[in-house]
This record gives sequence, structure tokens and C-alpha cells, in this order.
Amino acid sequence: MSRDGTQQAPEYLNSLRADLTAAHEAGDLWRAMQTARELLQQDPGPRIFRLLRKFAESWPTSDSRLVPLNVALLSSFSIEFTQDALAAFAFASGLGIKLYQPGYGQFRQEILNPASGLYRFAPDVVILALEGEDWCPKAYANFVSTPETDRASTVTEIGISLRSLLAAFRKGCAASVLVHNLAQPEFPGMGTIDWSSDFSQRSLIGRLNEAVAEACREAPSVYAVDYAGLVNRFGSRVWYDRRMSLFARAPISSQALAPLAREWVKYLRGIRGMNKKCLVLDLDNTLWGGVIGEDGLAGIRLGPNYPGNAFVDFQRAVLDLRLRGTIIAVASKNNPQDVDEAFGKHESMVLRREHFSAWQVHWNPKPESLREIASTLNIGLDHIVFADDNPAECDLVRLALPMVTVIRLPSEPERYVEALLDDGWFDALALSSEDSRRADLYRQRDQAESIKTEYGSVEEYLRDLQMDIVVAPVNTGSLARAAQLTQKTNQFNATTQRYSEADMLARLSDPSWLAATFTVKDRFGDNGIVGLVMAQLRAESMYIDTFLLSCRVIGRSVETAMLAWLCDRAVELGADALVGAIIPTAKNAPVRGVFLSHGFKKLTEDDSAASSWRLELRGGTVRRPDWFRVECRAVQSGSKP
Amino acid sequence: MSNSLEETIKGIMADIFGMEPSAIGDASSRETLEQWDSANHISLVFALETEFSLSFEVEEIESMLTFRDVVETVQAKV
Repeated sequence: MSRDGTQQAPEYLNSLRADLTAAHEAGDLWRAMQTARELLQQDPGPRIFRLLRKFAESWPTSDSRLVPLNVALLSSFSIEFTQDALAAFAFASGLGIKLYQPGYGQFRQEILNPASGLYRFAPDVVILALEGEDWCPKAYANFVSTPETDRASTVTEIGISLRSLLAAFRKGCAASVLVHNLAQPEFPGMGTIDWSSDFSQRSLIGRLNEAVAEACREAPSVYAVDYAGLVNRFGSRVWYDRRMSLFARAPISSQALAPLAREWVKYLRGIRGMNKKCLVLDLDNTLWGGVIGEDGLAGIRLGPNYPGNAFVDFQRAVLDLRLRGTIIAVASKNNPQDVDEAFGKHESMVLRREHFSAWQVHWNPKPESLREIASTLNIGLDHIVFADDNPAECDLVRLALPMVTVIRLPSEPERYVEALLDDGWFDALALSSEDSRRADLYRQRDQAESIKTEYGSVEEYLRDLQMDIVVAPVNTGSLARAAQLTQKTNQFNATTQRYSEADMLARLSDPSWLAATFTVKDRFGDNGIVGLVMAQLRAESMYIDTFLLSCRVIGRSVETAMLAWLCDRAVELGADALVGAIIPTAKNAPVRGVFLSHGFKKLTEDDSAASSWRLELRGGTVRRPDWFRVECRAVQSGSKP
Repeated sequence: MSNSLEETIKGIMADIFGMEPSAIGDASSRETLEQWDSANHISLVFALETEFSLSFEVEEIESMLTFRDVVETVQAKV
């Protein structure tokens, strides 16, 4: 079972392994890291950890893009089982680590003896992983039997002992040090009375942690790891394996290995300054539920009730990141006006337009938007994290821009926050006033730069999608879907004619009418019926009554293929011209240029701005782009469903 | 079925001990395999528990001294 709750077929894992091998052969580090992240997402277990550790160790050390880091693990317990997971997660973040680990419980000797293996190893980072049980028994197993005065003195003692260890270490080594704070015991010794007593065990451990944090703050390059918070996030009973603790002095359960390694790697990235700078967000079904262009301001889910409250929570988490210095940006396929309205008017919107430092709202492919954002903000693409709910968009970005870190949001919005924060991509080790201002600086830059578009790569993107189109007459099997499309499609809909199934049937029983559905498949799967054309042959002209595309395929030139097909049919039926109409609505901006851009001439425009357009077929027809494969099922004009 | 279970276990042990699956068989034991030390034994337990979704008792962990013991212990629990 993967972390996002989906059961993945072994074939998928096997294909990821194959990707890993291919990345190795090609020396493609970005691809290898990305595949490692996906493997760790899908199957965070000992086998994958071992696989990735071996893989990471086999990566050429001459590759300077893989940041080398010597990590020493000092602990009061048996900790070697965490090594594979640590190496695996580190590699997925671009860190090639070498590990050193003396026997457990030898942390004092290793630090105090200048000739120890620790110093010979020349660590860049030392992780001091101490369990409270071992470090300070008076606050744990012996708490109840320890007199109150002695309990209080443990707080002073732990501060002194940690300071002297750190001072001794600093004499021999400049490495950064990560010091675990202390987790709470599963049961306080005094049971339910604990918090009622003057000096409770829980509060004592809290004070010990204050002392640890203070000693760390005083010393340069020493950081307290919130181990207590980590255990708390998962729960003692899941975190610890009592059996292994007693049998092998290995108290950390196998389920805890991944979260522990992930937590350490947050700090390791921070030490090397590898924390991400910019979060790029999708909008529909990411910052709110639903599709703004279809559901409208009142229809999107954002507010006090489920699922709207889950999206509010997610926006709050994003705002927190923004306030601590993460740049946030938008890459969304939408009408700019719809999005402006949502940010301007929705009363439950937590994020404001001015929080975003870059803004890509249009129908161009997302990899282009990300490139644009990186260049506007003048940051590397490898500093960008992209979050989207749509697996196809995520895969597309992964493929086109392997250096970008992609968060595929899970299907349940209540799990968005954990998906955003679990890996701590933006976590830093210190917060400067520069950090919190940084996003504002970038925001100003955004306003100064004009928005450019790279049309050159659109075609590449469309080819890469490997789209197949199936054109078929509206029939009994597709009538319901065709009618539904006329009812629900608002954006790419030239005339917004709404049909019930019965109305549509009535049209189709007239032999002068033709109606066809367009099914689009791409390398990510089958999008189903996403396009509909209805037209009528009158005199020598083919009149387009309905021309629509579902929003999920806007921006993929499917409309060109639809018009090309219609031209061919019109010529076959002896028509001289195609005639189309644009009836503007509040939502259909994306469709308004469709006839103009395909060589139609404007005939008329009335007071309501409705226009009609004509294409002379003898002057040349619309050509189908060669990146589509089109299969036509028989379409007769007037074919009866 | 039991054959494929044996193969799976061989694969897991080979992976942990860093050797070929074909090198593991009935003669493999904690005495004969240098790589089968106590740390790798715990790794093996974790790996088996994850692979077969089961949990061993300490006595079972201690009693798995040979490849055959491992197969039989797992077999009794799946």
C-alpha cells in the first residue's frame, strides 16, 4: 500500500525500476531522483530502501550534481536499520551520503576520544539520536521512584552534559550536529494524576526539551530535531517496536523508518541549503473543489463545510509557507477573468492575488508555465515544487521537467496538507528577515516583467501526448453523454445550445443534420467523449449549430481536428462553405477566436456581439494536425440513433 | 505455492545478505553464512514481516537459525 493509499500493481513498480536503470545508463540524475521519489511514495518499505541505497552508492561520485555528504549516526540504541532508508530518501533529494556508525551507546566515547573513528570519518553532519529512556532515566522508567528535588535537577544536568559534549566535539570537528529531543513515554508513571501533580512527568520532559533546545541554540551549526513531535505525529505505539526494543535494543519499528529518514533528510537539505524556494499551485480541485470555469463562483467548494473546509485548511497551510518565505505561484488552465473573480470575490478565499509572485493562468501546457515562472522569478527549475491534483498534469511535468519536484495531491482533499508538508521541501534551518520578505521581492519582479509565451514548444507537448481521436455519430450509446455535454459545457462552447436527449434525437431524425462525438485518448489514458459537433446542411452551406469541447482537453488543438473532420464531411456532402456562429457568454472566452484562427471570415456581428463566420471550402479546408491519429466510425447525415 | 514462498524468501535473504538467491538453500544457516549476523537478522525479520504482512514473536525470531527454519516459521503464519 502506497502512502497515497492507492494499491499499485507490481508492473508499475517494475517499470519504475526499469526507469531507474535507464536513468543510470543515461547518467540522468534528475530522472533517477524523480524515480526514487516515486518509488518511495509507492512502496516505502525495506526492499525499496535497500534497492535505492545500492543504486545511490553505484552513482558515479564524479557527478558533482549529486551533493556528497558524510553523515555519522551516533545513538543510544541500535540504529543500523535506519541506514538504508536514510540513504534512499537522501538520494531522492539529490544527496549522496556516506554513513558512519559506531556501536550503539558509544556516542560519548566517540565524541570524547579525539582519535575515534568519528573524527577519522570526517563527518559533515553528526546525528545524535538519543532516546530519553537512555539519556535521562530519572525522567522515564525511574520517574516515580525519583524524589522531586532530583527530578528538577535533571533539567540542569541534561543542559550541562549536552553542552560539554558539544564543546568537546567542536574542538575536533566543524560538522553540523543534529540533536534529537526527547519523546514522551507511552504511559506517564503516575497515570491520570500526572498532569494534576505539581511536577508532572510530561512537564518534566517538556522542560528537558527546552534545555536541549537552548543548548542547541547557543552552539553554532547545532540544531534540535523535533523527535518528540515526530513520534507524536505517528503515535508511540506505531513508532516503537517494544519487542525489538527489548530483544535487540532496536526500539524503532519498521513503519517508523521512512518517516524518521524523511525527517532527517529535511535537516540535511537545510544544512546544504537545498530547500526549495517556490511552490507552484494548480487552482481547480487544488485550492478549491470543483472547476471555477464550469461551476462558477458560487459553485466551487471552499468554505466552512466539507469539502470546502479541507480546501480552506490547505490554503492556510500554503499561506503559512508564504509567510515564512516560500514564494508561491499559480499554473492553471483557466480563463483569467474567472480566476480573478474567484480571488477577488470569494469570501472564503484565504490566499489573495497579492500573495502570488508569479501567475500563469491560460490554456498553455503546464511545463511551459513552469519554465515561465522560473524565468520570471529568476530561479532554477530545481528549486520549484509543483502541486496538482491531476495525475496527467503531474506526469507531464515529471516527463518534461524532471528537475521539478512534483506533489501529486491525493484524491481526498483532507490529505492535501500532509501531502504538502510531509517532505518538508521548504523547511530551512534558520529564518532570516530576508526570507519573509523574499516572496514580496519576487512579487514586485512579477509585476515588472511582461508575460511571454513559448509557442515553439507547444507542438512538442502535443506530440508528446500521443493523442488518438475517435469520431463517431451520436448514437444510442452516446446520446446521453452528448446531451450532457451541451448542458454542462460552458467554456469552449461556441453557441451554448442546450439540448435534452429528446431535443437532440429530434434533430438527428432530420436527414439534413449531422452530429458527431469526439473521443480523445492520450498516453495517460482515455478521456472519453470530450467533443461534440452538430451541423446542418442547408442550401450549399454547412451550418455549425453546436461546437464544443470539454474543459479537460482545451489547449490541445482538438478543435482543429474537429473542424478538419467537418470540412471533409462538408466537401463529401457537396457543400461550398462552413458557417459558424459565436454567441458570447460570461464563460466562453476560450472559444471566441476559434473560427478566426482557422481562416473563417466574419460575416456579421449584432448588438449582443454575437458573430457569424464563413469558410469557403474551395479556398482550402482546415488541415488536421499530424500529431493526431484519427479513426472515423461511419457518420451519415441524419444517421438515426 | 510453497515453492514460490521459498523463492520469495530466498530473494529477500539474498537481497539483505548481498548474495545470489541461488547461493541460499537448505544448508544456509546463521552459522554457515557470515553475512547473517544479528543486525541482518533484524533486517530479515522486518523484511519478512513487511512482505508477508505478519508479525513474529520474539521466540520465533530467535528460533529462525537456518533457511529451513525461516521457511517453516513463515509457512506456519501465512
